[in-house]
Amino acid sequence: MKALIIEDDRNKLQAVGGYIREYFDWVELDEAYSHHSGLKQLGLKEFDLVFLDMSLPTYDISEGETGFRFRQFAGREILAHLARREQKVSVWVVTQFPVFGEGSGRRSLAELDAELRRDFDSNYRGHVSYSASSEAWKSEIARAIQMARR
Amino acid sequence: MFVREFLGQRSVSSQRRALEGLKQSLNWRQESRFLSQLRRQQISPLVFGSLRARSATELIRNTDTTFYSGDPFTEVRWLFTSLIPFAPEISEHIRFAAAFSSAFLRGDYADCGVMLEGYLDRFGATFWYIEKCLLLADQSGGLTESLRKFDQLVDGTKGITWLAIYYLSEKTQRRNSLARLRARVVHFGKGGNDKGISETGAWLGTIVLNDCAVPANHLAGLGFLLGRCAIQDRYILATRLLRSIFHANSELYAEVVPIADELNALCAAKEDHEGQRSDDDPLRLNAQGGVGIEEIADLYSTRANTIAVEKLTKSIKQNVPELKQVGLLSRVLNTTGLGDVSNLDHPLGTLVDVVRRWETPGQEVPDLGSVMDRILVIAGDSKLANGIRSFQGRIVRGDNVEHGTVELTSGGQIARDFEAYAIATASGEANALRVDFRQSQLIGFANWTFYQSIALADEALAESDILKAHNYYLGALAVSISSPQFVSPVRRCFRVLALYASQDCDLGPVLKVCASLHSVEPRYLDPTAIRFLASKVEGPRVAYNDFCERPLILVLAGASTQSIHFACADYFASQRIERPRDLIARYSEHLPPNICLFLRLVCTRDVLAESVVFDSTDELETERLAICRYLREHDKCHTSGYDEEIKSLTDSIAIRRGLQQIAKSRIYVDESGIRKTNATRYRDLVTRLKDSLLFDKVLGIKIPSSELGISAEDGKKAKLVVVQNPGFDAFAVLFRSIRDDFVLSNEFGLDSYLSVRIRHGVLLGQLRRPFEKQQLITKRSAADGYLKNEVWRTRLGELGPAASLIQGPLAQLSEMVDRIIGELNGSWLRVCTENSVVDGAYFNFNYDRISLLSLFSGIDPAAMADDLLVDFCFKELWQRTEQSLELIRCDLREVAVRRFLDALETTEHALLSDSTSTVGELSELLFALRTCKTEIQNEVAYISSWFRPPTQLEDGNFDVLNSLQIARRIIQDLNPKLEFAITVDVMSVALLPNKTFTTFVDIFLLLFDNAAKHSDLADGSLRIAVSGHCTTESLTLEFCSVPQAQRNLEQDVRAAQANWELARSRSASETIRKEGGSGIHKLFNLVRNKLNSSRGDIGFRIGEPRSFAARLYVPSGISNEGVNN
Repeated sequence: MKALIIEDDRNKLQAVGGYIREYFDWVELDEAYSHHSGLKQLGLKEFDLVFLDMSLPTYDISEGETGFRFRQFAGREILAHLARREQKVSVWVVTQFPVFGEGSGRRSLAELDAELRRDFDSNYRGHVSYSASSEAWKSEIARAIQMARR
Repeated sequence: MFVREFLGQRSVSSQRRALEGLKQSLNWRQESRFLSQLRRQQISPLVFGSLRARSATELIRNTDTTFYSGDPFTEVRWLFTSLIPFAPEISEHIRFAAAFSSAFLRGDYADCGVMLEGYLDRFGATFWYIEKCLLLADQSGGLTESLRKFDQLVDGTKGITWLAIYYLSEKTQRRNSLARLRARVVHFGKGGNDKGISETGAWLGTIVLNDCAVPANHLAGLGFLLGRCAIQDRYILATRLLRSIFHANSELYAEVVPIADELNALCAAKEDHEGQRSDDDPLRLNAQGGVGIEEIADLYSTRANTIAVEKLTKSIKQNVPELKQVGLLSRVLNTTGLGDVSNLDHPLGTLVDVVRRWETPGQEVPDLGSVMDRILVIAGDSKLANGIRSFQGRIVRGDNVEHGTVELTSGGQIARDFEAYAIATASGEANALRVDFRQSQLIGFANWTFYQSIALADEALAESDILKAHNYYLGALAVSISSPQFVSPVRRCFRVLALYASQDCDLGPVLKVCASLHSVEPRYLDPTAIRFLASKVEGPRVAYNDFCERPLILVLAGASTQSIHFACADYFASQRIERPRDLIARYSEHLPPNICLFLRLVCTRDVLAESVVFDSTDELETERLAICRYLREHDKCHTSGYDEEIKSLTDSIAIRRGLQQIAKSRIYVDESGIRKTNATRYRDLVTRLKDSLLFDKVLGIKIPSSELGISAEDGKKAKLVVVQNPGFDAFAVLFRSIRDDFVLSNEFGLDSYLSVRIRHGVLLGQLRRPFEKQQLITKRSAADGYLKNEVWRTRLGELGPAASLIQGPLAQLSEMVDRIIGELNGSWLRVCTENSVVDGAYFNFNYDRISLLSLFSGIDPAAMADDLLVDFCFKELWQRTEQSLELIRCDLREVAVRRFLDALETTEHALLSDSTSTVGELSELLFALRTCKTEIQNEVAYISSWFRPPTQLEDGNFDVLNSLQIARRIIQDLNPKLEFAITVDVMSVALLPNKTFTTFVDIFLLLFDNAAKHSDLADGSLRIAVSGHCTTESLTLEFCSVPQAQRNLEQDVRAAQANWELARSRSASETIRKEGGSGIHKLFNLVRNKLNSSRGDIGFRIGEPRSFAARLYVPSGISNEGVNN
C-alpha cells in the first residue's frame, strides 16, 4: 500500500510517520511538507491513502523560503484539487486543533468534518485527532490503514 | 389621467423605448439632480420622463436578485404607483397641456412658445415638452425661437442630433418617423435666410443620409439645402453635408456633383467665413470638370498634413472611384479641420449599409471587420489595415448568430483594438486622418448602432425571441465599447445578457464582450450580472475552457483564488502551455487586449501561487515580475500600476535574496582580514618557529599515555615522542595567536560576528517570535515576575475565574521560554578557550598543551613554507568550527526543540488540569499553543540553518537602501510592533560588495535595536523614522524614534531631523552605554573598521520624553573601500 503524509509539523510527522513505519511495514510511506509539495506528489504517484494536515504553508519551508502564504485550510484545498482531477484516494485529516480559521471563516473540527464529507464525499474518510500527550490517535491511524487496505 | 393619455397613444414597447430614448437625450448630471429633487418630493416625476427609466435602473441595481424583467407592463405599473404622491403636479401639468392645446388650436404659435417657456421653467424639459416643441416647430415654419428650444436639451452641437436619435429609436412606426424626418429636412431647408434653420436643416439632412441611407431621389431637398447653406456662407457646413453624402452611399457621388456645381455657382465670388478662398476649393474645381483628382491633391498638399497627403495620393493612385471619393474626403477632412466636429462624420458610411442590411432578415451580411479593413486600405494605411486584418483573423466567429451579430461584435472589438493602436502610435507627429477616423468610429457609429440595436433587441424581447434579442444586445454592447457615454444602458444590457445566459445561450461571445467592456470602462459591468455569469462558468468540466475571459469573469465576480486558478489552469491546458510566460512568448509583438487583461488581472501573484508549476516564492515572484515588465511595454494605459508592482516585486525579491545572504553569513570569520592585518606578526612568529627548530633538542619529557587519551597498549606502540623544546613552544604561540584572532578579534573574529549577527537580540527575537505571534508570553516585569497576559485575559474574559487561572501557566511558559533562550545565548553560542571557560559552550576552541602536541606531531614545520604553516592553523580552526556547527545544528533540532515543545506541553497540561475550565472554554488558547508548537519547530529549523560554515558569496546587487530594507524586515519580523518611516534621498546609490552590504545590515540592525531599547515603549509600539541622503560623496542617515501620535511621514522625518539638531550631546553615548546592551562599541567598530572609513562617524542622543536619535555618517567611496576590503 502506498501512503502519503502531508505535514509541516516535523514533530507530528515524526510521531505519525514513525508509528506507521514501525507497525505497518508493508505501507510504503512518502512525506510532503507543504501544500504544493503534497499536490506535486499526488500528481506524480498513485496513493491509496493520504494523511493530511489541515493547515500548511504554500511551499516547503527551507533556507531562504518562508513558505509564502500560510493556508489555514490547505487540507480542504488539496481535497478540492483531488476532486477536480477526479483522483480517487482515501484521505484522512490528521489534526491537533479543535477549531480552524479566523473571524467569520472560523469553524470547529466537527463543522469542518461535516463540510468535507459533504463536498468531498468520494475521497474524504474522516479525521484523526492527534495529540502529543496521548496515544489515542494511533488506533485511529491504524483503523484508517485497515480501511484503506480493504 | 395625463399619463394614461400619454402612454395610451403608443404601443407598450414604444412607450418604453420612448422613455429610454428620452433618457439618453439628457445629460446625467441634470438627471441626477432631478432624481435628488424627486426623492425630496420637490418635483413631480413628470418633470422628467426619463426619471421612470432611471428609477427602474436604480431599482434593479439595488436588488441583487432581480434582473430587469423585460416586461414593460411591470414598469408602467411601477410608474403609476410612483406618480400617486405627485397628484398636484400632475394637475398643474394637465393645465399647462390644456392651455397649450388651446393656443395651438387658435394658431397662436407665439403664445404656444410662451406656454412652453413657462412649462420649461416649472417642469424642465420633459418628454411632453419635446413633443410640443417639435409640433410647434413643424407648424411654425421653423421659427428660430422654436428651434432653439431643442438646443436647450443638451449642448448646442448635439441637441438636434440627439433629438434625431430619439426619433430613430422610436421603431414602432419607423417608416413614419423617417418620413417625418425627411419632411422636416425639406421643411427646414425652406426656412428662408435664417442661418440657424439652414444649419439645423443641414444637420438633419446629414442624419438622414448617414443613418437612413436616403436614396438618390431624395436629394432634391438636399440640393436646395446646400444652396441655402451657400447663401448663408455656410460653406464648411455644405462641405460637411457633401461628405456625409459620400459616406452614406458612394453611388450618390454622381448626383452630388451637379449639386456642388449649383453650390459653386451660388458662392462664386465669395469667400467662406473660415477664410478659405472659393477658387481653390476642390469640390468646385472638380465639379467644374477642369481639375483632376491628382491635381486637387497637389493643390491641397500645401496645407495638408504630409503623411495624410501621402496616403491620400497613394489611395487616389489606385484609381478606383470609391477610393477617389474617400481619398478626396479624407483630404477635405484634413485640410478643413472638420475632423474636430466629426460627431456625425465617419468614413464608415459603408457600415451603415451593412447595418441596414443587418436589420433586414434574410440579407447577406458582410463582415464589419472586413469593411473596416477595406476602409483602412482606402485610407491608405496599409500597416494599420494589416494589423486589423491579423487581429480579425483571430476573432472567433460563432455559428449561432442569426443576423451577423458576431460580425458586429467583431467590429466592436476591432474598433477598440484600433483605438488602442491609434493611441499607441499617434506619437509626436499627429496623424489627422487616423485620429479623425477613430473619433468618427467612436461617436458616429456607436451612437447610431447602439440605439438601433437596443430597439431591435427590445422588439425581439417583446416577441419572446430570446436568441435574437441576445444577439442584438450583443451587438449593442459591442459597439458601445467605443463610447463611454453608455454606462447605464450598457449595464442594463449586460443584466439582460446575464439573464439570457440562464436560457442556455452560448456564453462565449458574452465572455468576450465582458472582457472588452472591462478594458474600456469597468463600470459597464454590472456586479450582479457578473456574479451570475461567473456562476455559469465556474466549476469543473464546463465549456469555455479555452476562453481566457472565463477566469477573468471569476476575478471580476470576486471568486475564490482557487476557483480562478482552476479556470486559469484549464485555459493554460487548452493552450498547451504551463505558465503565463509561455503565453507572452506567443504575443511578443502584438498583445491582444483580452490577453493583456488576462495577464493583468488573472495572472497575479496570489493566483499563480495556486499553481504547482512554481516551487518557491522566488520563482513565483520572478514570473509575476516578468509579466509586469512585459505588460509595462505593451499596456501603456496602466504603466504607473505596473511600475508600482515591479518596484514592490523587485524589493521583495531583493530583500529575500538579501536575507538569504545574511543567513548564509551569520557564521563568519573574516580570514582574509585577519591575514592582511596580522601578516607581519604571523611572519615574525613563523620565523621564530623556524629559528627555534634549529635548537630542537629532545628534552625527553614523556607524558603518560593516559594523559594523551591513548590506551596503555596503544601508547607503547605509538611511542609518542613528547618534546618540550623551543620549536614546539613557538608553534604553540603561533597557533594560539592565530586562534585568538580567529575567534576573538573584535574586527574579524568569530565571536564578534556571533555577537552582532546572532546573540545581539537576533536569536532572542527569532525564538520568541512564534510565542509572541500567538501572544503566549510576556516580558519580565521590574519586580521579580512576569507581566500579566492581558491579551488572553481579555479574550477569555467571559470565562470568569478561569481567565485568571491561565496567568500562572502562561507566566511559567514565559519564564521557561526565556530560560531556554537565555541558555542558548548565554552558553551554547559562546566561544570557549583555555583562558575563558564557558560551561556548555559549543564553540570550543580550547587548545591545551596536549591538543597542540597532537597537532604539532602531525606536521614537519621545518619543511613547510611559511604560508603553509599559517594555512595549517586556519584549516585546523575551520575544522573545529565545523565540528561545533554540526553539533549545534543537531542539538538545536533535537534538544532545543524538545525543550520548547516540553514547555508548551507543560503549559497545556497545566491549563487542562485546572478543573474549573474545560477544553471548550480554552479552545482558543489551546489552538494557539498547538500552532506555536509547529511554528517553533520551523523557527528552530530555520535558525539551525544559520549554523553552517560560511560560503563564498558572490557580490549581490544590493545597495544601501536594500541593506536598510533588509534590516527593517529582520527587525520587524522580530518585533512586529516596530513601525518605520523611511525617506532616504537617493541621488546615486552604488551597489555594494557583499561584505559591505552585510556590514550595513549589521549597523542598521544595531541602530534599530538601540532605537527600540532607548525609546519610550509604554504603549508597546514604536515608530522609527529614517531620513537622510546617499550620494557618491557620502552617506548620511538619521535614525529617530518618534512619538506614536505623529503618524504622518513628513512629520516623522521633520521630527527626526529636529531631534538630531538637539542631538549633539556627547554624553548621550555614555548614557546609552550605561543603559547597557546596546552594542555601542560594536557600532563604532563596524563604522570605523568594517567600512574602513577612519572619518566615519556615529553620534547619539537620548531626548525627553524618551526618544532616541542617531546620525550615521560614512564618507565617500563606500563601494570602493568595500571592494578593497
